[in-house]
Amino acid sequence: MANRKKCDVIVVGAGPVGLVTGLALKKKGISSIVIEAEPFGRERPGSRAIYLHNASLKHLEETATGLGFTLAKNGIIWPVKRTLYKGKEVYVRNYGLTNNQDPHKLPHFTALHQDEIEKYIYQECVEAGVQFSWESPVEKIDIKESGVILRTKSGEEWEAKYIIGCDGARSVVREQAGIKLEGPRTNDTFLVLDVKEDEENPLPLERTFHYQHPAMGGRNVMFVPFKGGWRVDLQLLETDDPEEFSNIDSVRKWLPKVMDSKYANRITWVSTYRFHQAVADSFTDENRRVLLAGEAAHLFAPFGARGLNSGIPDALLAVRGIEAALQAKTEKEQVQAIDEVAKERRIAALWNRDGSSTALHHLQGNAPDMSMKRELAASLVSIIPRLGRWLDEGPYGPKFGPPELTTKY
Amino acid sequence: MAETINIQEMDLETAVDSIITRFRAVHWGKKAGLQNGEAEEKVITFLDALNVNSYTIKWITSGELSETISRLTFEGSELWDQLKEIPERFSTRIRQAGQEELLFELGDRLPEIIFHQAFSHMIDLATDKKSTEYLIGLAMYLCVLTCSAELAGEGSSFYPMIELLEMGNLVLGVEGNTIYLL
Repeated sequence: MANRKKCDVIVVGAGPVGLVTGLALKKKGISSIVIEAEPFGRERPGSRAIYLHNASLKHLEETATGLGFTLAKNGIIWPVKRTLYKGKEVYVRNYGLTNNQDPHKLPHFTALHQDEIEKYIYQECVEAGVQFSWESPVEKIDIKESGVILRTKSGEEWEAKYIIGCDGARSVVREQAGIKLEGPRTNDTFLVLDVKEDEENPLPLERTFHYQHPAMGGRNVMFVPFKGGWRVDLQLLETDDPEEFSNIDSVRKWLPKVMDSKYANRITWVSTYRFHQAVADSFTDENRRVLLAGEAAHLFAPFGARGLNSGIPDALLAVRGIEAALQAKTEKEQVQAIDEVAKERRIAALWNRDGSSTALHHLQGNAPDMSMKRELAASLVSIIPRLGRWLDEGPYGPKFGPPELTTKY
Repeated sequence: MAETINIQEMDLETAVDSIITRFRAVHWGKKAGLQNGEAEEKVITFLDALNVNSYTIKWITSGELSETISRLTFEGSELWDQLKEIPERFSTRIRQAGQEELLFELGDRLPEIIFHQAFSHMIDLATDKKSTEYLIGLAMYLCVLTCSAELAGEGSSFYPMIELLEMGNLVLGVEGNTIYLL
């Protein structure tokens, strides 16, 4: 029989959400282990989550003093956002330079590669003494009324009162808890690519959105800078063959139409997506021993940067709920503590999904009513500048959540 | 083309208020579905003022409203090609005349005023949410454009539109060069 190790909480997944969970548990003095299927330092493609809202920076700063500021100062903040419609500028706003080295005030956001985000959170985990078990894929999870027993493929066993699934879209925790992820996929295909910045001669820092870029056959194109690079999003038309746009030779041909041609030789990642818009049918199991966080619980299109920015509060509220459950005097209170956080985060996920759906509808290529509305708005911008703002904000969805949430996302 | 008026000589605020008052008094779609030769004449006068030559005017019934709205498109529309550039031209003239404040106020106040007033009539005209939204948007668009035209000294080219609305008919929109009247 395997030598079974015990702790209060098992965290499955050591991506950014799992790291935050492990860190928060450690800071609260709750014994835990973070189990990750892949080896430490595993390489994953693409920049992935590149944007942390101020709310997330605050959460991280509250979790580990200095962490929010570290992420802020190691990312970038673009001072200008610009939106164009068929080549005509319909909105521009210059916020002026933000001092992201300010040790007293967190900025509105910071933009950096997910690998960098994870690096800084992991450093905090190591300093705090978070325990990890790398290269330990999960074989089975037994979930009972009294707790959970997890067995890895190598035969290692962990017993805990609770388990938090931070193991992403293909979550084993979710699957073994019998929880389903429900929701559609986007109609439109999006091509996403990263290019490395030329630090000797960089582009001005601006987030730019083109509705129906004239050089791209009327396709929407977005440029988002992050520290050391650029994310380019190209929204394909319904009739486009994704392969025709996404193979590297094609990218090198079309990219110079929208960016300085030097970037055609600085491409580091290309991928195509039809984004899922899915939310778990429950964030906990029937025994109230499981909580889900991040992409184990929800998948959204990236518009509005709701993925990691809601994964962080998922993690922190899961920890808070478990803390309350561990301190509860009755079983009823234990169950209630878990139920409350699961319910709140599900409301958050549904709201975030609606938010990114609103953004998607705004961008939908083949919706004639929305197409007409955008055309009208662009025409009226010089008389009603607010419509320029609507065009600018539309691709990101609403910003403020429903009253049931104790967090912003 | 509209007679050019020296907008610095006018009491602009009064002129715009007068147009808003007229729009507020419109019973939107009161005679919807009742074909009216005079209404057609108003449309033709409006199109002439914009130098639009390619068009077909088509009447629809209230029962055809929802389906027609779903077919509307700016693509291939000579009328839209003219209309879409107009706001920029108006804005330039208004700014050159130093009347930017009035323009901001107009853009700020007007859509909401018309929204409430038009909604009370459009809700009876349209049978579904999408059509209602479209019609209210149309009302706001017509009002904002007409008032901007007045501020820019080109209001007279839009008077036929107000007169058509006052008759109780509506220009619904375009499907290419077909212009639908209700």
